[in-house]
Amino acid sequence: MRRRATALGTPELEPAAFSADGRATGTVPAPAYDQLLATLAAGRPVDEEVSRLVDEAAALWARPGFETFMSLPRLRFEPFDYQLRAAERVLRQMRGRAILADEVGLGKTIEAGLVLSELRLRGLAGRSLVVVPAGLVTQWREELERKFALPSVLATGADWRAAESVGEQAVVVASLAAARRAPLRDALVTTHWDLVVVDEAHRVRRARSASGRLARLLRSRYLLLLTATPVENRLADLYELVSLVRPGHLGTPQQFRQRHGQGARSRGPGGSGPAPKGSTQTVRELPALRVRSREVMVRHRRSEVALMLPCRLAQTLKVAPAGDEAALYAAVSERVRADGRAASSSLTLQLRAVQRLAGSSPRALAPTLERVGWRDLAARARQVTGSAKARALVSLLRRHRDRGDKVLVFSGFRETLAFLGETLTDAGIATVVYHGSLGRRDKDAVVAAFRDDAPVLLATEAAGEGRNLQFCHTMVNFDLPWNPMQIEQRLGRLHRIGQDHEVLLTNLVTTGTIEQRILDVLEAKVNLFELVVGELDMILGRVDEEFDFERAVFDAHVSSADDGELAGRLDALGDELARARTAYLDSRARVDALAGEETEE
Amino acid sequence: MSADPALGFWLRYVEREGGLWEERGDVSLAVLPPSLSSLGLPETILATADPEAAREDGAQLLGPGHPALDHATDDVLERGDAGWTYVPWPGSSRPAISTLQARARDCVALERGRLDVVPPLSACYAPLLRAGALATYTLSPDQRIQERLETWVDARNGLCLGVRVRQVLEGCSRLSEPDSPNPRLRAAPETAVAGAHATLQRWAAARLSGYARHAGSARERERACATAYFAAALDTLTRRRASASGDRQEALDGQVEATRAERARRLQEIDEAYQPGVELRPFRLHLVSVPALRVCARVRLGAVTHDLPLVWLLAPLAGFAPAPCPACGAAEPLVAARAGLGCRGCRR
Repeated sequence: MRRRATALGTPELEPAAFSADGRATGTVPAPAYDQLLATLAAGRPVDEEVSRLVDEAAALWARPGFETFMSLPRLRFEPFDYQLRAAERVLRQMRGRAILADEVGLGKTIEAGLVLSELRLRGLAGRSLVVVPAGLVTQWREELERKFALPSVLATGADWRAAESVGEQAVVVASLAAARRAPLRDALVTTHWDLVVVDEAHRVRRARSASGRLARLLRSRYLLLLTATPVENRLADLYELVSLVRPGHLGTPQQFRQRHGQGARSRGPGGSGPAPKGSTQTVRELPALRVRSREVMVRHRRSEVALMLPCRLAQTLKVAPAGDEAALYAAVSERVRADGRAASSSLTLQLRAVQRLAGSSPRALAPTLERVGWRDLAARARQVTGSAKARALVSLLRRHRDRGDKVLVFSGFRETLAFLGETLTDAGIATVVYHGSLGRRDKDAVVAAFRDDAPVLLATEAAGEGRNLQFCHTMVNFDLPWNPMQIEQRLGRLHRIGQDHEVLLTNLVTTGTIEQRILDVLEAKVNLFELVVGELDMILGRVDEEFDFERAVFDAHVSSADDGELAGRLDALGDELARARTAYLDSRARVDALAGEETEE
Repeated sequence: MSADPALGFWLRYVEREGGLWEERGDVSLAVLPPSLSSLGLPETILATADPEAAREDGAQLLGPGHPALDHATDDVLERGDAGWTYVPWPGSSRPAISTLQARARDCVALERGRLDVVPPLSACYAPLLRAGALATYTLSPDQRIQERLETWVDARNGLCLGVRVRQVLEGCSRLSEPDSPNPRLRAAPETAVAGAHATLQRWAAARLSGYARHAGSARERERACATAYFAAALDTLTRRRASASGDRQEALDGQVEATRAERARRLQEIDEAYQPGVELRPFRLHLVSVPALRVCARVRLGAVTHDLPLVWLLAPLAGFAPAPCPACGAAEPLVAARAGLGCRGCRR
């Protein structure tokens, strides 16, 4: 390019070449410069404060290419490189429409959150919807807020817009069960979303299911489907999901079947016979399909990302109850069983709470027995002053204290925590107590006291949400949640990224209780404590989409004539979980065959 | 001051506009001036960048995307940043004539003759222009990349300064008044702005080309793929509708409508992926006076002598400002050849 300079020859001295009216003379390339040139013509010095403000404004205004994560400084955690790379691929190459299919526990939620956060920061995803299974709604909302500093609002049957915060638009979170039914479904499908995230997206594969129809009616510029199992048994599973994020990418259904669907049969799983037509074992041109899949799908395997956590060791201390404790437990169980058979749903919930409290502590049980009107049992509960489990806990904590270990003790009930606090104080063991009703500053103070001073933290499930407790690597379940996901979540408070030590978990269970039977099922049939994070959810989800382990246990309890029958029913439930586990492992292998990568990019 | 850059900026903006603020634990209390009443916020508000603090303390969560922050950003950038400034006169002594002569010879390729720096050297301020613009790259209506670009040019002729000089200049301290009585060389602001703008445009075009590379040349293939897919999907829905009951027909109508909308979205997405563009919005012009020496480089070509005026930018810049071709003004390397002194284009 050639330009003719205007100041040649002997340099002239000031003033600058402004006309009499202060405007620059000559041709200005863009009118937008006029105001700036006028300021220059006025001869004003640079205002350093204005310059700084302008620099800050320009930095906030800037929306660099997606190779730069603007949202990174706003995150409350440090994502892994592979998660950042995945989000970058989704944003740059997949244009915000992708299937996130990492193996469980590798952080699909984090990758989706990074994409969501980045798009929102760039003003591209003001209207964002996250559709998740009901059991994950709270977890999603917490992650959005605690990790990504994004406010969220729960969409129910009512109009969620009323609940949105003033100013910044909140991320709308809806449970899949609510979202696929009117009136919420109608409100959601008539909204033009910028971004829709569907977690556990294998549930929307089938176009004719209520969930599948919902996913196909939602309108959105960006779409993220999260599932560790984009393929089950049918090749069409993959086609359906890919067609949701990029319609036509795998051709028409007919083209897809012709190209990939009718290859030479191989043996079915386990070599037991030919695989069924349309199954993932009969894929033709597999390499080509893998290439096309990778254009819209991100999948990381644990072995690829070298995400290794230290071991977790679980032990169970079975404690024999004292006579009065055992008698109280038996009486309460019998009353629950008798009243539970024909109970309304609200009474069922109360009875379930009573039965769980009976497994926690008599002290926690008494007030609830009073509330449900079982005054005779409440009086008996108050008469039970000691607790064999509490005594066992004292002994255990003394051993840990002598070794200098910090110990996190979980109970599902605040009344039990209060009882334990008194018991441990009497035994000369200092404690601090953490529960969800504490304010933010109090929670911070409790965690700080535990880190710096107190050897024992007594906590409900709320402990550790968004807080760093990895300085501790020993935990005790004083009582056992009936929901195995809660057991995993408790363990996850310590057994997480940043933990350098082996994590030791001790389950305290009273012999003869439902908790003992639950633990037997989960340990023997599912190997609960050997699963990696997230796998349990996959297994439970395979039993039934709406499967609720806690409810299943309670139903088995009240519908059994005696403890022997209950044992048989729980054994059958365990077998069902074992089959689900096998199916999950098979499915994982199939997904890797179709969508996995030989080597990480 | 808040550690959050967005909240920190906004509080400074409020203060600049005549408001007040103070920190109160995890939140900041701000009293807004009347000029910001149009934001629809109360006159006194608690603001924070922490969602937890916002929820527990009832504070306004003020982060990127908040209308008040967008307003502040737009307002500040709209007003821009322009003015004069001076680099302090250096305490070090002038460079030796021999140094200047050696560096001047780097500026002119001598095919013939010789080049000498001839005294006197006179001290002066050389005007340089720092120009900043915001570049918006549109890759599609829903995919915009916004970057800030800045360049430095010689304000006498609009020629772009070298990378090293630009880097040193950005780190130099500045004064609002000159600390030396030396005269300033005359600036030509319109020429300088034109030169700076051309440089920024060139950079932006190169960036755009990089961003648009992903769009590739597969538009037609993608379109054909998507068109066939949706045609098949609509055909299936139409056939199913023909044999469906009343209620079911209604549901299928909804699916047909959604499929058509999705087809339009997808085809538009494909089309837009291949129409990139860029827009520049200037936000800064600083006329920076830099300590310099006026130097005469005398080029002797046989019996003919050419006096080439050069400007030496004093330390820490320590280099010549770019010299335009004395014949045509082009920003091209100079050559002293049989045909005379000028750029290769002029001497051809």
